[in-house]
Amino acid sequence: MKKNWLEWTVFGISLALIVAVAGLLVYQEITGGESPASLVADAGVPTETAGGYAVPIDVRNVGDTSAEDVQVEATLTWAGGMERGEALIPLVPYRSKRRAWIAFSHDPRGGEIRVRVLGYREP
Amino acid sequence: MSRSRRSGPTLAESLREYGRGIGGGFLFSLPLILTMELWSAGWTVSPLRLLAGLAATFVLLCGYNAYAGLRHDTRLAEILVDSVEELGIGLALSAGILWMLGRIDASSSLPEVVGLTLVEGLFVAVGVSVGTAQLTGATGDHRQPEGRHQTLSSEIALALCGAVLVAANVAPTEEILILASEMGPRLLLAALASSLLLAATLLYFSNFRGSARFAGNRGLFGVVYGTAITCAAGLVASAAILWFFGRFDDHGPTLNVAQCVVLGLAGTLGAAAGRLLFR
Repeated sequence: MKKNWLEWTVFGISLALIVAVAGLLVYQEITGGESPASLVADAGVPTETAGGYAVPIDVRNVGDTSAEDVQVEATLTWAGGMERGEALIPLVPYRSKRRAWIAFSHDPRGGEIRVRVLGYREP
Repeated sequence: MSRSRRSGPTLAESLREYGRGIGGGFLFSLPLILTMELWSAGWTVSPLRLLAGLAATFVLLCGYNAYAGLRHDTRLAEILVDSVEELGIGLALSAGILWMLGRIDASSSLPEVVGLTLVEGLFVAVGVSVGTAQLTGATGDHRQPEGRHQTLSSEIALALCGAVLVAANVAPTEEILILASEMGPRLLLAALASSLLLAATLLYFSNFRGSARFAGNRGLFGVVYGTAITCAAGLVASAAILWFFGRFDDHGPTLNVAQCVVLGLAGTLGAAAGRLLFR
């Protein structure tokens, strides 16, 4: 078989890539469970926007199943009032993180933010 | 990838081959990469299924390289090395395109990246393989004489390759499921009949490029035999791709057969084209 160094390099990289991918899949198959989607939502640091304020919501899926159409709710309470907001994330794949933003008209920095996942679909 | 000279290729020749491969990979699989349903396949297809897809694609590439290369004396070791190269290029190309399109980035998890890259990369690899051998402008005495691959296994390998290339582009779309569930038995039968008619016409009655080598097989039996093989290859490839994308899950057997028939239109067309055009 006559090949030049370029072709052997491409072959070597290709082989390494395939073996790595196959190895990872086997590892996933052996260790991966069948646990349902499991979502946690956390509020981040609020920022001021042109129309008011926005709070980033990080939704993490720590389960082995992806979740679609994930609806998250954030409630902002401060002394003397409260405000509620919702956001929809199309997809949070298994073992992954997605970010949504919920807008408020009241400054969230003076109040308390509570976040929770309202519901989602199985793909 | 196939060699055009026994003395071993120069660097420029290798680069040209990779160029053709990359061109073929793009040409045959870009519609697939730009399909939204496919992006979600990256995280819904299970690892076991991805492994099965990887293995099946490798076998398909080996079959293609064994029968449709530019060289006569393709030895097993060379076929295996070439197939590994094409698969690797396909995966790397797929990862690159997906990154460029913003489908994978630093926030993607590793299983997500691997799943998405594989789902697209497997089909890119088939495009790379076909592009390398078919898109060459070189002609001359090292070119295979037409009609050399007349054995059953070679015809099936080429038919499957063509079927996968054409059927994969529409397989993951919602349209196939909608058509399959709404067409009803009569229209589905008509679709199946059209597949058979299309295959017979392309292979035997249209003077399509490459169809001359089937002239010796004429006669009613030859036509029926060749048409049946082509249509069957189209249906089998369609079924395999639908299974890979999880299109058989949660549906009854009747609907699954209906999906195969609908996708089989594209599959049979590809199978016939593969048998005629690939050399």
